[in-house]
Amino acid sequence: MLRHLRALAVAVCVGLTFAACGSSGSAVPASEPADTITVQTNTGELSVPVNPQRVVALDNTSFETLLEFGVTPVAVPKQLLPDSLAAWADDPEIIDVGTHREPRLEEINAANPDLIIGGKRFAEYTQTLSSIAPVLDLAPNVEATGYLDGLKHQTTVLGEVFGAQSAAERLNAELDDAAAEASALTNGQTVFLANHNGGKIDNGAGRMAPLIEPLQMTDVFASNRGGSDSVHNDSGLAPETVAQANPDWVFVLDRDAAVGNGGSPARATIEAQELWRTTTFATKAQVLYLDNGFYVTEGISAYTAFYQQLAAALRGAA
Amino acid sequence: MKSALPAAVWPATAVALGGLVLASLFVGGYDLTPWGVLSDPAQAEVWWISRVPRTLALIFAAMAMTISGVIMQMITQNKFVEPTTAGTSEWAGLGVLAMLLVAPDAPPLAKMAVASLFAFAGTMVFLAVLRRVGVTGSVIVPLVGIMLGAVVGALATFLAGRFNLLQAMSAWRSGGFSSIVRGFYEPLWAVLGVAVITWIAADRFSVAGMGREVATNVGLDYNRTVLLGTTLVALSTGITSVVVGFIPFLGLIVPNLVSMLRGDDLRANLPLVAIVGAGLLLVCDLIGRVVVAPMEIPASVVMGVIGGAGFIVMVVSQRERISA
Repeated sequence: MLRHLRALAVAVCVGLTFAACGSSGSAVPASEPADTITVQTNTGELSVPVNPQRVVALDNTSFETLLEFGVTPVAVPKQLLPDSLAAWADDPEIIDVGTHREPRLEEINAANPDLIIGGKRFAEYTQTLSSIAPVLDLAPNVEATGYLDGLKHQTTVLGEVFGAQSAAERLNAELDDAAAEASALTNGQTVFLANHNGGKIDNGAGRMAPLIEPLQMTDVFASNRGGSDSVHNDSGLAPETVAQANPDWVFVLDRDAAVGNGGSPARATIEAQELWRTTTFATKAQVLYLDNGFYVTEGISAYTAFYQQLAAALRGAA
Repeated sequence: MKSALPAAVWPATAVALGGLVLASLFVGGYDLTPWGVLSDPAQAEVWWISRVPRTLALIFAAMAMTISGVIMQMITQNKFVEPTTAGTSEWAGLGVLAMLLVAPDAPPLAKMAVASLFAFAGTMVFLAVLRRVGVTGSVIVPLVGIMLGAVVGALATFLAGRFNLLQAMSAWRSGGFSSIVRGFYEPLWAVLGVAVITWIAADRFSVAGMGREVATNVGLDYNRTVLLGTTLVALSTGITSVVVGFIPFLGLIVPNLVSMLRGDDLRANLPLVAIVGAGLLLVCDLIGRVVVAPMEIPASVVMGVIGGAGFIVMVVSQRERISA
């Protein structure tokens, strides 16, 4: 029933969008017609303006990269911003477009954008948004290119669009260097990708598998039942199953902490687990807690920071 | 009105339950053998920390839901009412959510108290609506309950969406038993107390089940009995909701199955209801442990499939037989 309601809400929003189109199309003059370039996106080749002035940023993986390039969007989903982008959240000039569950499409239209950086959580609205402005979907796609190559492609293209090619090259090189450094320190260690949600530790492979793409590490619960989107990747997991698998390392994504649910942090949950006291990861203290911003952005800077954190931890363990 | 096979029922169910308990004690993510549990301290530790609590939690939760079902069926004089078809579980869930919002660090006992209070209030609302609307149809009554539950559930979902708790809530709702270890299930022992009180008061509930007029005529304080029943149901549902989430339909199909076999003698049926309920929930959890190993499907999901089918079969086939 909720889905129907949501569909209805979207229909109403879309209706409002078109209504707004008709009435206020010329309220804010769009910037001068600029040069355009053609780029490869998740939705095929797309012609986009170079150096667009009015940008709506929806894809959370792009936020920190845009900040790095000195781009200030005119509208963002403020509830989905990491702490590092509090400046955008606090800026009254930047319009809040709501979340992917309840996007305010009419606000996006009112922002009169030249370019919308969409996809990822907002992928289902791409078609609707395309009637407002070109929608650039560069969200990393595990199936198509692998996540890390997707991040680098996204950074390269955004660099071209915003004339920040050298900054883009630097970000890509930093990711490559950090990943290579961490990878060189791995030699087949086993790892459990843990998601802490609702005070419970579950298998987080569905979301976290890209982390070990460049590493010589094995996920103890690597899916052998279909692709990375298999529903069982995030099913329940008994603590004793983790004890049986006895991984060398645990990478923990603390969703509760990332979205500010309160409750005890993942560290408390893990350390309180009697069954894990004798496991390799517990006795050697090889548990890596991802930065809270990681869950929120999953962008290139977050991955680079993770590999740097991992490399330091691996050096400490060696 | 005993059935033709009372003598065979007891040993058969006892053996079946014993087998399921053994299976639950030795099937799971950690490799355990009976000999290993006795000789290897590592195996013994996992057995005591994980397997024994989980099996006990399954038995207690099943008792809580089936006994709640029995009491509610008596109070409402309807065979299709139980905590998940009367909205009681959804109210308990709203209570859990309220605690997540207001006091996420509160101790489990406080969460249970609030969940039980919400469950109590919700059940009273359900009974009041039934009385006000005056519906008695065997299928209409649970429909009213399911609708009330859906409204409360929608409110909970809305609040959870507002405060970014949707995923936390769904993790808790379909929580199941996979994360049950020593230190997390102990409040469920209270269900034993609820069971004993229910057994003692069984005859009152049986009389109340004949309706307000009959009950009052034979000298029973009807309102007090309803209040006692609602309290017991709220306690069971509140505690179970906090510890293991929702378990749909269990309180519906088991009491009906037992009374089809043995008639409606509540006191005599109660132990059998608890045993069959525990067995059924153990089966569901064992299926959930095995089919996608090493991951697990929550017992409540398996129960939803089996129980949903059972509910439909009962509604269709019992319509003419159950007149209440």
